[in-house]
Amino acid sequence: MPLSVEVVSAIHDLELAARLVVEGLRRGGERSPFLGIGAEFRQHRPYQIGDELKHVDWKVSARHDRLLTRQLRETTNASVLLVLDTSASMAFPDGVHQKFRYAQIACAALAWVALDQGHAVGLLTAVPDARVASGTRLVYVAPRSGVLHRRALLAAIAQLTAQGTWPAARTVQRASTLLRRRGVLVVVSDFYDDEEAVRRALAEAARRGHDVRQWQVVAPEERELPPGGPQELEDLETGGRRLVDRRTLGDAYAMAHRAFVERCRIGAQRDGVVWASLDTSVAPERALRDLLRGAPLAGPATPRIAARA
Amino acid sequence: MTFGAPLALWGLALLLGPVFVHLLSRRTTRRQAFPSLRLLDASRVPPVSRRTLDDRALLLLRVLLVLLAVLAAAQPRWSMATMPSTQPSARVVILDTSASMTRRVAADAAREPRSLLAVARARADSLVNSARLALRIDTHDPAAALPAAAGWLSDAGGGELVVLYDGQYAVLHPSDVQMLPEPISVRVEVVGVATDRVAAREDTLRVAVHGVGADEDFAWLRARVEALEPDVQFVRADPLLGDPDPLDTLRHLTTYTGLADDPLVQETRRGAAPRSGRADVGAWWAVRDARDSIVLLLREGEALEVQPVTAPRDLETAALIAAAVARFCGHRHIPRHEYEQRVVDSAGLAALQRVAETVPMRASVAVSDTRLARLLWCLALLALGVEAYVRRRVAPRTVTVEAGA
Repeated sequence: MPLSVEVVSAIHDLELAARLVVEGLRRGGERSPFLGIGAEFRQHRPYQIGDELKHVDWKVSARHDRLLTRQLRETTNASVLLVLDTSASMAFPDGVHQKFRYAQIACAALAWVALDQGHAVGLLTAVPDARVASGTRLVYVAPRSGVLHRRALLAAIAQLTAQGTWPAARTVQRASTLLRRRGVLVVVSDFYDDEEAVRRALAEAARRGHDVRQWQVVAPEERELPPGGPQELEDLETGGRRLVDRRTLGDAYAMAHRAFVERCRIGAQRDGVVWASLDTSVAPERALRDLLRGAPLAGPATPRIAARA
Repeated sequence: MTFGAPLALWGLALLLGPVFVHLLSRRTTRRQAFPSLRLLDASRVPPVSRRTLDDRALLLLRVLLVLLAVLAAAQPRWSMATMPSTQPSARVVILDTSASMTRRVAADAAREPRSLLAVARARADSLVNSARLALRIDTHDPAAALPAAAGWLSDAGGGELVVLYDGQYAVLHPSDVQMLPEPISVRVEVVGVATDRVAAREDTLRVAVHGVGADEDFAWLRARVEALEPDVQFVRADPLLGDPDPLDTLRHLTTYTGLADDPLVQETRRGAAPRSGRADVGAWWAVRDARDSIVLLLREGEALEVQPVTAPRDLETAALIAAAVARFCGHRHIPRHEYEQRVVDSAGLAALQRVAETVPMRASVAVSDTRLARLLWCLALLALGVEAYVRRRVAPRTVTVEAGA
């Protein structure tokens, strides 16, 4: 049973939360897809519920009189660069379903998993800084591997806060250039930015040969207008205010939001970007499993090698 | 600027009303953070009323509305010249109590008419209470009281002299002000020039008889006047306590009716020293209340004891005068504004103002001007209209949704 989002979000320590998610991924009641995606044999380990039967080494199991599963090491490590949206719109809603906290946990867990698989993982984001002319400063943790780097990376993710605006397109462009060789670019954001500019930046990164993942974080609370009568909504990023009434504007807004998400999805598909939606009401463990099962972190240059039984 | 009804300025406390209303109304809609309003901008559905951005404009309009109404109710007056910069330590208020001050006026339609005298007395009380050392003189002849007031002020080391009157003809002359010694500043305040509140004169003139005499004498007088002027209603008024000096009302009447040169009037005015043979009854008449009636005031000669009116000849004179006045007024239909122009000594006031301008630090003339109050009322109504328009205009607002979004 995966840990619920309420439980995971309530854990203040990001490293602990990420570890719990990763542990859940490994021991999940469902089949675990993270036995390894490389071609090189790494070790045997006892069979756990959820492991695919094709990964069971039947000969060794017969010798030891117990089920053992083959774990494979990836032969070619990939560079994974996490691009995390730190704009104020991510700080919605207050509470356990907050998009930014969810994105932090997802990034941390993903980094953990990727580092375990031998990938080099880095981080790029932009934080507000009044001393800079553009108003934002890039925070970059170069992709590396190792336990020490994992702690540094998780600490860097934990220090981030959602505030101000976020130059999405510029940050994605910068990330695609920072990945020197072909790597995995995971952009975690709500994408409430200049849609066309972000889409072009993602497409450009995909054209450069990167495995681009567009993870759109969506909170259930933003799919529809807040319940109740007339109320004044304040834009978390621009500070603009609008007086709305769900009774008159609710359907139109819900439709517009669905259309917005659909535009993101279709645009990503067209540009060769792997799009996925991260619903903050779904347990992070389950969400990550679904995401990685569909497209494991192998990197574009790494051939997907089937596990050999 | 001074105020005729300064108590109305307490109404400024009403300014808190719009502020509270806005504060409360703002609380009715709660504010909530939302990740982005971009998708709302693309909507095409009529939402609820929107007042947030226009709140300030509405608040300003409502505050302005209350402010204008309160200022109008306070009856502001222009001061034609500046007052001395230092507040005088001593002040003499000379209050005109002549007959013309009994006219009843109202500052606006919503108020009951008040007599000029009541208004002036309230103002005099306010002036007296605001000075450290004050003296109030009630007189029917303010000009005559000026020397005594000036002497008192000189003894007090200088100060301010305020004359409250209705701007009537020949009550105050510029030379009266100019002759005052240097350390005394003079302020002339004209109260109650409210032309629209003077009641309309009817076609038939009501003649009231006030005096001392036997009923049969008045009956005779009435019959005689009505015989001369059938349109005249002859009403016997009860003797009034505290009647103004008949000479004042006589002067008033002769001024505005143009009868000052009438031989009968002149002869009557000389009634203060009646000729022999006509002195048993002083045939003094006057207009007591200039609004709607003429009081035929028959008074005993000052030197005589009260006696029944028995001399038909003097009654005949009084009747002739009354009939002449009635005929004049009744046939001329003096319009209200014309009447007011005649009652108020505009030229005299202008002369006083010129004096105030030439001696700017010594004197000023404050004219109670209902036009200013009326202007303020009009502006308040205008603000009310604009407020209603803005409120209605901002209520419905349409935003658009991108159809295929």
